[in-house]
Amino acid sequence: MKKLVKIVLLLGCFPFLLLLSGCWDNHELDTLFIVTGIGLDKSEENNEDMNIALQIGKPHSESGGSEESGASSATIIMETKAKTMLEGLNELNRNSSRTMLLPHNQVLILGEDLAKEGIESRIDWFLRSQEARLEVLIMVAEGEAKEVLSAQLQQDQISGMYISRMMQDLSRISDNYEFRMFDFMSRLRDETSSPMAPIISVTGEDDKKGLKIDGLAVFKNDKMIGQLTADEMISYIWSMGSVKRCNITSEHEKGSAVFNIEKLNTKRKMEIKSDGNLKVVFEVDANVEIGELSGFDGLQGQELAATLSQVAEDSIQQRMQDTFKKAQSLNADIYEFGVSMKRRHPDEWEKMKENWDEVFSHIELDIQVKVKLPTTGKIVEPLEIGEGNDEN
Amino acid sequence: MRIDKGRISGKQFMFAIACFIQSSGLLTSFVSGVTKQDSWLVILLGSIFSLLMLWVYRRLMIVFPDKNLLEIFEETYGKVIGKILGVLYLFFFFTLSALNLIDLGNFTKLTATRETPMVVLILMCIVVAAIAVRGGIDLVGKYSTAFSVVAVVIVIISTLLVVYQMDFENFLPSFRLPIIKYIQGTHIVTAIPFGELVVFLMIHPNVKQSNKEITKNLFIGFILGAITVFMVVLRDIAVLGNIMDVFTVPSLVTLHLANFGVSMSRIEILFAIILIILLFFKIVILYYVSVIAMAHLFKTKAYKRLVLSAGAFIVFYSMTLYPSGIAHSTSGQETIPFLWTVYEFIIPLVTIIVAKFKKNPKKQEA
Repeated sequence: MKKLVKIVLLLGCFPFLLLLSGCWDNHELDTLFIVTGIGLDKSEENNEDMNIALQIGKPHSESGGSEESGASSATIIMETKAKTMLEGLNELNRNSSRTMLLPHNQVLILGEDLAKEGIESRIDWFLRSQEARLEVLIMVAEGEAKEVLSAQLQQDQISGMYISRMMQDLSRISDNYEFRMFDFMSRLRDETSSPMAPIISVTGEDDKKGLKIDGLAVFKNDKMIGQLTADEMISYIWSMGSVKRCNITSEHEKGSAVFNIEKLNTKRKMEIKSDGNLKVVFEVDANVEIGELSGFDGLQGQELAATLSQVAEDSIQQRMQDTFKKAQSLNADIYEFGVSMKRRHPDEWEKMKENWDEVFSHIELDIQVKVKLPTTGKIVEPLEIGEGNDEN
Repeated sequence: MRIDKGRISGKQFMFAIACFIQSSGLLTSFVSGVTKQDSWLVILLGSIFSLLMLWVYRRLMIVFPDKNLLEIFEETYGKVIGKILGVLYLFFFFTLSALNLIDLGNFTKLTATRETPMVVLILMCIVVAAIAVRGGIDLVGKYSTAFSVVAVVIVIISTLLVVYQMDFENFLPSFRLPIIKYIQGTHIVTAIPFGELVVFLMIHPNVKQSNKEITKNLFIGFILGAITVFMVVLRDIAVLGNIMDVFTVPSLVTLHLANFGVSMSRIEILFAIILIILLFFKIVILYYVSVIAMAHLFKTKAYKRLVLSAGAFIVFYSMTLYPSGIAHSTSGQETIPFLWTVYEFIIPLVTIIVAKFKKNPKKQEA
């Protein structure tokens, strides 16, 4: 009898498996659109609205191979106009055959015009929603964000994936290449730092397009105010330190050299000068290796090494200084000097923060570069072509 | 007169305390909003103050080794005042259960099941908790060790995974906030997660331990829990920096950012699971204590019959307690700490002093 009761009870529990498993908000894969990129653009018609473009990755169906190439693209672009992100999403969800799945979104691309207008009111959703993740990359498109999303690419066909892989490669060089939503927000919340985002542009023609990182957009508060070129971007990355593996080309009166920077570290020191202005010292430590060399005739051994490291030091210093001058002309604290001040000298910071813009424009930057040249590659000196051997 | 005949060992008692602290400590947003990058300091100060409180609890446990809190009140203040205090404490236990239940509901909704209505989550939790409570303290105690060890392991693993994202400059500038913020923060930490240990005064008669072991278990359990909380706060500050105080669950965001290659991303669900387990454990303890207190006031030994009605009460209480999450967190930062201090510190302290003057015959030892 007791056994029977137990069995009945056990059987009685089975319906609960179905009832309590909490799967009433399930979504099957074939009812979803996987969003791989979001683009926001300024709307031409009125200032309130923005154009929202979602890029949806289509699953591959290349098994047959008989289809004409280029007949169907790998992505779908969905567009709408709305005042905020969420309104736009709802609008798109209403009008589409499937539900948008946002956690796999790779990148948020802002159109240049929208970025110049200010974006704070547009991005609250990206922090608040459970579906949006903070490690989403943030970028500014040269021109329209939609163009980047809808570009017919040759390599990775989905531009969202293209960008995320590209940035992943770059972040091996330095963590400072990671311009995530998180970093953007964190800088936006500092009182003084300028948020930044890489500028992405479309290259190539028709269905043979590619994407390219073309410098950095510099924001002041939430408005884009200027940009750094691709070269300046690299030297900005150097200034922030912990760089592995990148190149620098140096010109010298005796020849030119390309160095592989194996490792580069930058330490910063904040000093307050007697006249009340700030002086920032960058102590740069770099291990470089000779990549390519031409010229430098007549130099050998020690002499050559000394000259080369001098050349490398000079060019690193020069480029960093130029970038800093650019930042000063934009009056944008891209180096987070304000934060360093706040952390290191909180008392002085209290006095400075009211007119930080003024203080920043008077900062003197002193860059001290130390280059170590441990190896020369497989050959030591450049190949010297003997003059008499010039037969053909 | 013990209502629940079950007994747990001293070790289980210790881990139960650790688990209890860990559970509320992992939701650190109640201090991070107040003290920002100095939250670690506040946790440290809070722990030190809590040790003071623990000392009071320890005295009570030693002086009245086989009486629970409500019996202690009746013994020291007499029947009438004792009963009134008992009712007040019953309200306190119920409120704690309801608050933690709503926390669990909110958290589950935030992390896992977005569209499931709150009632369903809460009901399911309370049904399972009711089974545990009916099983008695010895059943609850058995799980404490496993839960708290798993929690520590997950905290360590997740910390290792975000090590490369840490920036220790985020702790600077230290000690720059107005003093009152530190006091407020310390008060919150002491009153909300740590001081709730007062509920263990309802459980200690069921623990097999000598006086020496009481001290040891109480303090080691507490320190184990507090260290976990401390680690979590340090990690969150180091990873998130100035943006930490925006989020409702900073740890979840920290783990969102943890990416160990492509395969080890999205590990925040690990954290969500452990937090749900720990919160569940805490709710079971609070629920159990409420039921025991209720049985005591109603003078019945058949506490198991009260389990479901108490559960129903807790569910409705939690649904109506706060109109919104915003009201919840505001009161958590501003009013609750003051109210709780009375229950957690002042009344036990007064009790121990009164008991001393009454020259209770049992209090001769240590």
